[in-house]
Amino acid sequence: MYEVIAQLIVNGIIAGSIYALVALGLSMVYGILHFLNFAHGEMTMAGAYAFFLFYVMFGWPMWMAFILAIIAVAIVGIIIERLTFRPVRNAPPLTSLITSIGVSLLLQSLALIAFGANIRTVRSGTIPKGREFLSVIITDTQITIIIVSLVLMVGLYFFLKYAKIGKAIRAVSDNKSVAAILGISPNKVIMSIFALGSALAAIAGILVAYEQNLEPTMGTMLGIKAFAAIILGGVGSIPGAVLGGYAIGLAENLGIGISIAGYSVPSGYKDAIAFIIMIIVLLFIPTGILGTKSEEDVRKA
Amino acid sequence: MLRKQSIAIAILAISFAALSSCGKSTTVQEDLSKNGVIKFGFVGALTGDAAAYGDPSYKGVQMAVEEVNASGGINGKKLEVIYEDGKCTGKDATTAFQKLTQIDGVKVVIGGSCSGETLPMATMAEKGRVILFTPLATNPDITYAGDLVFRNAPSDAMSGFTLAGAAYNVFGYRSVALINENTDYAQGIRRVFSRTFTDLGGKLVADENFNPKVTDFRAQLVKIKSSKPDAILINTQGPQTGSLVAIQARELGINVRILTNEVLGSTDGIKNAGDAVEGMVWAQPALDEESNPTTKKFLETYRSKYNEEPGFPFYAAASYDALKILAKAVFDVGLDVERVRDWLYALKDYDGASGVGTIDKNGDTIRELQLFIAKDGKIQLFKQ
Repeated sequence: MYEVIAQLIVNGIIAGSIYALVALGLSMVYGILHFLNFAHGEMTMAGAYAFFLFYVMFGWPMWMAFILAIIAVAIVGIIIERLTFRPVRNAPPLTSLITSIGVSLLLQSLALIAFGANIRTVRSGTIPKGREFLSVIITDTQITIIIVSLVLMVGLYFFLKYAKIGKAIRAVSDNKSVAAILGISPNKVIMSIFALGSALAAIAGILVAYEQNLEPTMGTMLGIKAFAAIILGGVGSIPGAVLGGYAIGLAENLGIGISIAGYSVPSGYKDAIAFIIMIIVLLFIPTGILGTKSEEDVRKA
Repeated sequence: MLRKQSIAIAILAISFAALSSCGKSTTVQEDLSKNGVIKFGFVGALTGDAAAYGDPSYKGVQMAVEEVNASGGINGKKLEVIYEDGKCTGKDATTAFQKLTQIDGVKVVIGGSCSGETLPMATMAEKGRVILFTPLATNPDITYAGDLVFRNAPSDAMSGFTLAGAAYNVFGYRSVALINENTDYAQGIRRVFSRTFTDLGGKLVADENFNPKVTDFRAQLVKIKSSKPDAILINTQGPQTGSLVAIQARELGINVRILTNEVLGSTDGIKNAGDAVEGMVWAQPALDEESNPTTKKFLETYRSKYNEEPGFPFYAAASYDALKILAKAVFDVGLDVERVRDWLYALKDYDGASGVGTIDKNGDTIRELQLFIAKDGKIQLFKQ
């Protein structure tokens, strides 16, 4: 039983790393613009396909394909913000939310036209057997996923805390008008948030594509899991997004893997676990674990 | 005088007959559609993971249509097939079916390529009085899906049964772990395999399921690993998903033999999964290229026309046969649903590219199944 639980925890951390990376960008956008960006999940898909295009179809070296794919998706993020979200920025958040659903469908359809509906794989050839640590098996790719995610999260934390633009992001997130009075350009900050969030999602997408496979609708489920993660962790909170991501990943894996008194959640319901958690959190702790009441809510109350 | 006249009339009559028959044959060659068009519908998975077999099916049908039209169409009328993408889901298949039957006015539909497409279409076919003929869907429930529903694919009642029997008797496995996709096709196999294997005295030590579009199966596989099975049944809807399950199983150190369905047991599946599926075993009908001239001709034409080896040769051939059978039925009795139905139920020993087939009282074609094994990255007949 110990081995099973240990293996499930490791698997949960692998899945959670991906969710956390996607959740970060989603949470940052919410922190400033106060709407849930449904198109954010598609950035993982965009990253995966950009990597597939450069690495598999063009045959470029892996590091080059990796970096260029991330840059490409960051640019796509900026373009999307400029063309679709900026014109509706001063409209109620619902307008932005619906716009994001449209963008999400558009991106999926573009991928469908460009690459077809077939499932693609990046890896080929022999399957390396996983390494064994204390009866837990983990592959090199999975170790990479965990390390890359950790490095990025720590990096993001320091970036927001000490870098100039990072400080500006936090200032705009706290109070847009005051930040603008102090000479911080909200447009510049929002643009950098979209670039940063899209790049993080792209990295998650590339890791998924390399480890598993890719198809045009792959981002939807990841996006929804990231929603669940930020709602659990606290919408708008960066540490909350990370915590929520790992918590959802662990809950999914442990939930169907562990049986209590002979009963366990049937494995077909694995995806439902994230949504059940989301509903429970919304009912009992609407701000999430690390979330704070937003300024508007405080004023209303 | 009378004699001269009668000879002249005779010559005239003969030349007229010759002329008119000549004229007729040239119009047939040039433009069949002048005499009217007979339309069939096709619904199959043309995109997505299931396109791995939906596409060869489409190509098989297309080939048959060209042959029918090249040999004069159906009673001089041109045969046209309208192709729709069912995407292996009930939702898209029923939309396509509705479009075909209500807008295009089609009375005969070939498809779908998945059981999940075929079962909901079967209900609509019964209500709308349309013939539905599936060359691919294998779910056992299709046997009883309706009076107007036919197939020349084997039922999984057969393949699940054969595979479970082999697992218990040939390989001597007493415990098997299952991992199944939540689709009509995979669940059909799961049901038959589970029942047969436990009836024989075997034990199912794990029975895990996952939803379509999922790509992380590790939690399920960890459970399977801890149940220490003699073998694992990987039962997915598409070959890509199946190979991903196989790869993740091997990565987690599950090293027992893989049993599978004919979806992963294919050139596509083996190509993707590589050495992860070495020694994998499954049951399916075989094509007899060596001694069946129809099969040989079909495969040769397919290869030269499409410049590729058919991904799922049996199902490409069965799709080709399905169209030929339906064209023959309409040729014999006209485009009348009830009469075509009776003609199909009376079909005996049809010698097609997929082998000799007889349609039984439920509209099923009985097929003989054989065991196959993946060896050195190639498909081989399993010899006991």
